[in-house]
Amino acid sequence: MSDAGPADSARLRSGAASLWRFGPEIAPILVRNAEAVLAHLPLFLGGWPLRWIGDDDAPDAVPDIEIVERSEGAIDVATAVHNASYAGAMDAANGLAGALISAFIGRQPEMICLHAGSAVVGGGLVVLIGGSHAGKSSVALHLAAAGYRLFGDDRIAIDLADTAAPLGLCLGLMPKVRLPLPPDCGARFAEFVEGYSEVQDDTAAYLKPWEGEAAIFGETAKLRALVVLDRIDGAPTTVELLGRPALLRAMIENVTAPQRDAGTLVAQLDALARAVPGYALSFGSSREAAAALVGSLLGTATDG
Amino acid sequence: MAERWQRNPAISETAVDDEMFLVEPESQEVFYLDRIASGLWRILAAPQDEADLVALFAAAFPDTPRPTIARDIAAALAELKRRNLVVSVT
Repeated sequence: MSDAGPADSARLRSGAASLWRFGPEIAPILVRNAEAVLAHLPLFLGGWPLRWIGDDDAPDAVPDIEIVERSEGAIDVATAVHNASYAGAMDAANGLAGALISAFIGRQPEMICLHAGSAVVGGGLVVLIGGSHAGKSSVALHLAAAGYRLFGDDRIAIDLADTAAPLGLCLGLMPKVRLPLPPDCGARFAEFVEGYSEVQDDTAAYLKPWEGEAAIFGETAKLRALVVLDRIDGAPTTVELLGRPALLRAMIENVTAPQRDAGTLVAQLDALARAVPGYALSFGSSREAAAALVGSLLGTATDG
Repeated sequence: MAERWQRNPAISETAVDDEMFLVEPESQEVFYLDRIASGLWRILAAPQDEADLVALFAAAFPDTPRPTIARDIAAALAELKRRNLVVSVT
């Protein structure tokens, strides 16, 4: 991806391609020319309501997102504030998924978005917080392979309307895992990845779990644990309660909430840290990490 | 007279246990202060010069060599100044 700079509103108004409506009817996101990447979008995003509006029904409508096909094959995903350029349709579909989620979160005054994987363990949502390469997807998928309901990959929305009982909301990002799988991942995990792979390339497997095994866009669940991941090659696996300042720091580093000021955001994240227990999960093996986490939360062990 | 410093009144703060999270309203940046820096921030509710601060911390941490305290206070105060979290008081 390359950053082509903010798109100007004049360009967003131009063009005659189809207009599409994504997301809930109460807060739809308008996308122009989504058809350019639509075939690839299900690899990255699932369960989102989608409706074709047409070519001429709303000629003056200003789309929230515009897909622009360049003559040399590049595709731009443009919003009013950001324009990203991609080499092909598949990467651009991934970019559209991110833009849709940003637009969705931006319209929800009570929601924040955390960079986190998530799964339902023992009736509550376990949120696995971490930056790039922290192991979010990997630990979440090991939980899924062990039979726990996968709730989200990479990002999760948190509804803070009731800060005493915050809810996680599934954003519908489809899980993916880097290839090759690590040698210690275990046979069950390898079978899970193989069985649910929709597409694999040299570097990643894009998975499509069945609906019974993974949450769909809009599904909510009560939060049970906020887990900050610390992956260190070769490190032993430990799960420890995490103090509120450290939990708050980790959330600040991994939050997106474009619609509110930073002071309000810090206060809301602090309320979230008071309402939900925090854990520090240090690990070298994602398989062992998932098993240790389940053991700590439920007092049981999985066999990975 | 030595220059005195006080918290920037525009800064909003959230105390979490013994530590502090500050928000600079113009940049919307969030700053985290560890326990020592948080203590410094609390003391700067009232104007202080650097010598006052060193004396206060030396009294609070009698086992720590005074030069060490002076160095740490100078570094922490410089960081607070650089981030516009404190203002000079005349």
